[in-house]
This record gives sequence, structure tokens and C-alpha cells, in this order.
Amino acid sequence: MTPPDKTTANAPPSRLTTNTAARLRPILDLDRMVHEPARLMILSVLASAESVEFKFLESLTGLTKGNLSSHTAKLESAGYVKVHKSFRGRTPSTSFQLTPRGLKALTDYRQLLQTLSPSNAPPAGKPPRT
Amino acid sequence: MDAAPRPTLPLLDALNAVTRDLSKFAGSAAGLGSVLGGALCLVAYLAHGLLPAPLPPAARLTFAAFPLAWIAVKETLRRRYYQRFGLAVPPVPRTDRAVGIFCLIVTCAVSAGVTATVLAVNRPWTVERVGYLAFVLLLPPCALLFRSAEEFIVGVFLLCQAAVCVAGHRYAFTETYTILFPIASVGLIAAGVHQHRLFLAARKRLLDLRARLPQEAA
Repeated sequence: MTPPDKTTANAPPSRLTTNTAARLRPILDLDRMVHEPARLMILSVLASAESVEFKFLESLTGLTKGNLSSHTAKLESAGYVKVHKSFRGRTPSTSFQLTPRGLKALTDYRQLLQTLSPSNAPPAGKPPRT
Repeated sequence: MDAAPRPTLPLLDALNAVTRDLSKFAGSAAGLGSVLGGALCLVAYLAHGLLPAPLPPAARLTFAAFPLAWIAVKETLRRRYYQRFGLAVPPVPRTDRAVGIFCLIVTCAVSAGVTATVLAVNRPWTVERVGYLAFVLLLPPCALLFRSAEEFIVGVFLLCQAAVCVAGHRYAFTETYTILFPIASVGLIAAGVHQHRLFLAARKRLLDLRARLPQEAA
């Protein structure tokens, strides 16, 4: 392994590196609870309806029952989702509802993602707008 | 092992759209159920106008069965066919909720008024009279299952004509306002066909989406 070049290691970061770092800094602000792909899909489905049954989430996301249970439990403990257990006829039914907190988290996440998308990237050499 | 692909924003928007379309079938959309209701309403309307009074017992029983058969088929289709992917309840706008409550209150008031009138008349309790009263009392609970304006008009008409048929009479339809019933029927049939096509398209999009979504993303 070659030792790092002392001249470049001690040099101030280039403008391009600073800009990229500034542009990517919001990644650190991403809500990890929402960022997980399965949970992101669950929240997106819940955002379009008043409440959604377990079976509907299972059909749309294609997740297994165990995976879905585990992710919805995490979302519930974070206060993003409310769980209702009831009977539909004689069959027990579990339905989920997005809480205002969950909706805000999803909206913030999507906004942040849109800010980070390549189409919103500033032209090279120009600092990002803050 | 490859990392699971992340759902992109367009994919999430597609998920939203499919959820919105499928959730309509827990709300005002009934698809083929609406088509059946509209068709039964048209048949009953024409039959009342064309058949001579008094109606034969077989015709009376058939017309009396119309609303019950329609509600049974409509709700079965909704649960077994349109909600096969599970239930997603759509957000109901406040105005729609208010209109629904208003319609229910009017139905309850009409039902209570007619029931009081029937009970006030001192006549023997025949099968026809009991049948008529039964359909009048069925109006409010059935109105809970009518989820759109067209469904409400057609449903109330089917129940009212059933009550009249059971009592051995028929509607004459000499009043101009009765044209509302065939118009609502045609509207309900058109809406039903549109909703059914919407469901088929949503189902296709859902299956396509399932193939594109990250499988077992966790």
C-alpha cells in the first residue's frame, strides 16, 4: 500500500469537492425509519388512503407476512402508523393508518430526495443554492 | 448478494395511484354492481309503466326481489372481486359525508312517516300490508349501503317499487319527475362500466408494479 501523498492530503479541498460535499450533506438528514425501502413503500401506500388492511399492503408491496409485520411494528413504535384490530365478519382484520407525524416524515423525505435528485443538481463549479 | 434496488419516486407515485384507484371500490365505486342496479331499475321502471294492473303474483315477487338481489350481488362483488387485494378505505371528503348523512336522515324521516301512517290506519294485517311495511322499514339500513347519488336514487326507487308491488299496486309514472329514475339508471350503468374498466386497468398496473418493486426489500 502506498502512503498518502502529503502534498495533496494537506492541501485545502478543491471547489468541486466542497460543492459536492455541501450538496450531499442533506443525505445525513434522511430519516432512516422512512429510508428503508420496504417501509418507504408501506408509507407511500398508506399516504393515499384513509386506512389500509394488512392484506392490501401485502398485495401491493409483495412483502411476506413476517416482513410486513416487523416493518409495520417499527413504524408503529416510531409513531408514524396507527394500528386498528377489528373483525370483518368473522375474520380478524388488522388495518393501518398513517398518522400526521408519519405523513410529515414521508413528505419531508420525498422533498429531500427530490432536492438530491441529479436533475436538481447545480451546474459544476457553481455552489448549491441554500 | 446484490443490494435490493430502491423504490424510485416515480415508482412510489405509481404505488400511490394504484392505491387511490383500488380504494375507490371501498367507497362509491361498485363497478358491475352498479351496472346491474341500473339495469334492474330500468326494467322495473318500464315494467311499471307497461304492465297492466294488478300485477300477477309471479311479477310481484320478481320485482320485490330486485332490490334485495341487487344489494346482495353488489356487496358480494365488492368484497369478493373488487376487494380481492384487500381493503383500502379512501378518504371521504366532508361534503360527501354531509350529503350521505343528509340522505340517511331524509330516508329515516320518510320511513318513519310512512310507517306511522300505515300503523294509524285500522285495517287487517294481510301479507301485502306486512310486506309493504317491511320494505318501508328496510329503507334506512339499505340506504347505508348506497354510496353515491345515483346508487341512492336507484336503490330507493327499487325499494319503493318493491313495497308497492308487494302491496299489489304499480307506479303509473304520470308525473314528470319520475324521468329522474331512468336517467339515474343510465348514469349508474355508465359509471359502473367506467369503474369496472378502471379496476381492470388498476389490476394490470398493480401486477406490473409488483414485478418492478424491490422484492423482499428488507
